[in-house]
Amino acid sequence: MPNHSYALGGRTVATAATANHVAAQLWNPSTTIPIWVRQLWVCSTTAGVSNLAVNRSNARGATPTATVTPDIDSDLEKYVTPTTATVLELATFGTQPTLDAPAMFRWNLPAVIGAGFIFVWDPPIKVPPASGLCLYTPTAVILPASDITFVWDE
Amino acid sequence: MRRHRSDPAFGRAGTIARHRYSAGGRTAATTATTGNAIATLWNPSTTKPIWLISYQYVTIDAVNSGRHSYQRITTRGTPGSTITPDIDNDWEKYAAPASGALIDLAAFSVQPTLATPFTARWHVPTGTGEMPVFFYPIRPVKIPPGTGFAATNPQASIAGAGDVTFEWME
Repeated sequence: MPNHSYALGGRTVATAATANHVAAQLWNPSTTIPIWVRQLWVCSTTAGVSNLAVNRSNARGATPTATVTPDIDSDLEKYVTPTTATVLELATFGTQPTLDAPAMFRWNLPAVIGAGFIFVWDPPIKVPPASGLCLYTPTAVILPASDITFVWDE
Repeated sequence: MRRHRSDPAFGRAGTIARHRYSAGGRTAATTATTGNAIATLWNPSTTKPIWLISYQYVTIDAVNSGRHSYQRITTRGTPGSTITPDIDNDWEKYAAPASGALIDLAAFSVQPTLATPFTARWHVPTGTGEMPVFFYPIRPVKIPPGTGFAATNPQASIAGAGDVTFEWME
């Protein structure tokens, strides 16, 4: 049975200078269907150092500054809206998502506009129902406003 | 040597399912001493090997990023900090590592015992966000029980602090 691949992007605002504050969260609200994350793109939009970590979240948090809701256009085959109703939530959060530990990935970027990287995961990272995958600052340093893209299958 | 896809070292599409893990953390700078370890992936199991898929290191400042070498270790040493992966570090979120594999980070008060010669060597320029990334996707590096794999400083100069991620299968 073919999977559907989705891509979804947005721009965060800067986080607070607080360790473990989330910049972006791909949240799977389904109670039954997992998703598999294949890529994460990050690109700085201001000249500030980015301390980065990637990890799972087990509680969603609340009141992100922005939520990007994918639709049929986000399907690389333009076939169907995501059945899981997965969303991309962007900093800042009024209530932070609850992160698992330890981090799955650590990285940092220099203080240059346009500094970035693309994580490509093969095999993809499974995100079970009612959980998420987050990009966050693991240090008490502002994570600057960034352009974020997630690519996932479901 | 070509390997058949059923070889367990492939870890996917083979006949034996394997789990993929990753874990990351931040090292402190090493001392300016030849052979000091920057970060290690240690397999404490007495029976189970693990297979290293990739090692990533990213400098966090423009101080002494320096030279790096990569080699096996035969004793663990005493690290500055240790990361203990759990079920969340499984890409399928299925099980904590059965091997008990650990990430140890500089600075080590007792250095691991290094096996020579190097398996690889690299030079990281002085700058923030400089990185070597090593992938072994086709032929992962087998780490037998009771051994490990280290990024080390091959010269008597400081290896600067960095963000480190190991990926492995078991």
